[in-house]
Amino acid sequence: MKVIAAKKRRFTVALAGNPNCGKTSVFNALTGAKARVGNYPGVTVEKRSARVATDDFDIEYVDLPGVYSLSAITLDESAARNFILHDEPDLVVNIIDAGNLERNLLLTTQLMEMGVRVLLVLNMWDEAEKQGLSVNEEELSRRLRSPIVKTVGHRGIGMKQLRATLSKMLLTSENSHYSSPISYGAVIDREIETIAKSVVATSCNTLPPRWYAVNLLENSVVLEEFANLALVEKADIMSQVAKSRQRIEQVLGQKSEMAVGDGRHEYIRRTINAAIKPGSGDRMAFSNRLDNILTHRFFGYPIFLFFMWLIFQTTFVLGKYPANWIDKGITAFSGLVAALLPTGFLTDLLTHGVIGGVGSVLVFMPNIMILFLGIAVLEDSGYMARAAFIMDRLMRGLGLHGKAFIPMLMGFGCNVPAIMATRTLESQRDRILTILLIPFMSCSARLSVYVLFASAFFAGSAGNVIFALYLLGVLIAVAVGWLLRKTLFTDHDIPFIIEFPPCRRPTFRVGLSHMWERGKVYLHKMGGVILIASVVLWFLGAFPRVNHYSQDYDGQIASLRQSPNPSAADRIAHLRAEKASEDVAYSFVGRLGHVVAPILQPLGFNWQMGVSLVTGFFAKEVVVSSMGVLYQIGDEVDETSTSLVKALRNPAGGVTPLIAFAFLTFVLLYTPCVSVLIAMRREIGARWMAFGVSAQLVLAWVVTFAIYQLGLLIGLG
Amino acid sequence: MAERTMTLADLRRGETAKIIDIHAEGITRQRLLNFGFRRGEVVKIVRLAPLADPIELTIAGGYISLRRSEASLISVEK
Repeated sequence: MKVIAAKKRRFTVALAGNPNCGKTSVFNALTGAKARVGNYPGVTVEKRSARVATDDFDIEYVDLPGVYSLSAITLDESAARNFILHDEPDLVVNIIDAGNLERNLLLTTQLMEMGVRVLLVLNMWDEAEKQGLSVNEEELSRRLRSPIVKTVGHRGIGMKQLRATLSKMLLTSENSHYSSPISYGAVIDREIETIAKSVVATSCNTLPPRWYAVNLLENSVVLEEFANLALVEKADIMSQVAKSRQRIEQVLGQKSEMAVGDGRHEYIRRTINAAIKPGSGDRMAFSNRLDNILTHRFFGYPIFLFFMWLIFQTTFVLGKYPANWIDKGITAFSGLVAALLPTGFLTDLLTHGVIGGVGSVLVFMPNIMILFLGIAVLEDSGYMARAAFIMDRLMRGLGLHGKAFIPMLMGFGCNVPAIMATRTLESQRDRILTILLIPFMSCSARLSVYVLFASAFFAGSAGNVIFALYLLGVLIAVAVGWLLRKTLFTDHDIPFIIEFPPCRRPTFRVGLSHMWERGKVYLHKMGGVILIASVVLWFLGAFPRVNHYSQDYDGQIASLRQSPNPSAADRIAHLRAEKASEDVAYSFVGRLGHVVAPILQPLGFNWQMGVSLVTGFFAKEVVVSSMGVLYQIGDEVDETSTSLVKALRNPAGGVTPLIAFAFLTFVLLYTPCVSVLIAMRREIGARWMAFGVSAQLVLAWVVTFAIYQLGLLIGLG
Repeated sequence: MAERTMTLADLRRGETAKIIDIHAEGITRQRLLNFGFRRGEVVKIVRLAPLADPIELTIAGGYISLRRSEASLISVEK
């Protein structure tokens, strides 16, 4: 490009703010919704960032996780704090909900103490103004030592001014320390000063010493920086801190962290009183009336269930149409490619492996995008907080947060978007627990296996059998959840202290950008891996090829083609099916199926079942088509195929209703499909994923074994 | 009965009380402090969830939901 590019000045700008302050919409308005989504190093806290280059600047915007403070107690808080401490952004844009200054300014005071440059954004200004709030900008700006801009993020109002102020600040940022001491009252200030002095005396002096001092008195975790200190120095500081705490507790009559909190609060109140005239209106007045209905003792749950039904239906029923178009398009395209290229290994790899693989990646897209549109509407409207409020008592039975209901429910449609939806949960513990339980929700792919077997063996009561399987999955989730909380997740429950944002009309803008972003995350972070996994699985299913078939299928088919006999066509179809079955049995997957057959024998499964379970790892509905191939019905069967039902029921196959039910139980429990595993790995890491799969395989075997053997015992065999 | 101090969990819908002390520890205390729970602050119970737990209250201009178990860590007087 041109030489100018080299002259551009590069900056990093971080956006910080409370949850629900509209930070993300300001970020999107600033960057044009071009966020790259990744994780902060070492943790699964989401990092959204975007690079915006103009004529003069090259700015990297980072959207920090929404936090109420920087006390570093939660993962989100420490990710935000570490970014500010270690990545040293040139500027922190602090987004504030103008309708709730008192709570939002807490974070602001902490940023001030950390010595970063702050640009204050009073967001959702329209709402605050409607309530009659007025602000003396000059005074507020003077007291908080930062410029102030008013915006309405989700409408893009005030962005011009924000950009202008931002550029001006970036261009004048030459000196580095902006630490502004806030006063906590005479008693605490004196102790802060003393501790700060002993901090200055050590080798740990890269950050404002007062900030260290405040943190030590507030007891908000031991700072990592202290690890680098000599033991003597550390002991010095700690004994000073202990003395100071004692004095504060003596004089002020409460624990030092409370006293410091009070001091901060007083400071914020003084600032607000001096610079802000509160409005007379209550912005929650409308929400309050609405909440009387939304959280009503009798109407609350029906309304909630209606919204859940609506989201589920649009995601999975409406989402089926675009998914089918994608499927058809891919099949047509692969057919076209196959017709154009010579037959052979490479063509097979391209058509079945790669193009088929792309299809298996894309097929999730409609579900994911619609679901996240729905979640965005729930969050943006404020209903999510209400839903969590009424569901909390029930979900606590599973040891989960009220919000976890949504990902669990979505699991019944497809586990992949459900796992992605756990991002709405705040704590890592809740996310891991929820993700480990989601696979017990019978996804729609498993339903096709249920339908096949239920209609083959339980014709009269197919509905009941399928319902029993869904119920079994839920009951097992409850039991496993209980067990996990008694063993691995024994740490105290995460507090359920949430704020109710006002109910708002959701905006199209927010919904669409959320939907695109999640779609992109899926394609970028999981699509590639799912594609590779699909190609590998295809390979394992197609190779090695049979060199010597048990009979000369091709020759027989060729000669039958010449024959005028009317039954020749049937005979050809039969030979083809037999050949396909021999292919599968000979492939790696088929061999693996034979290897696991003895393990599955105590469960009553025949080898065809073993092989199709192995192929089910690719996707659960593949179990059905594998059955079709192995029972020599042909490739193109689905769960309603009558010839497959007949073949399964054939007594010669040895499958009894008891075995059929045991098999379905196994399909419900054994392992999620490869795409789910990839989603799990992304959200909770390879270790938890491996744990989840192993636990499920063991559980599946044990439960199925118990069902089968008990069934035999009481004579159901 | 009279000996035991009253906590937030004892209040009924619509009742107002003043916070005397907060007995929570760790992350719960931090969260409470973040939301403006402090000595001397006045809270009002707005409503209860359908199963009477959690409870919703107003404090420092915000609407907050907490579980009964958390509310019982906050002693109050009417």
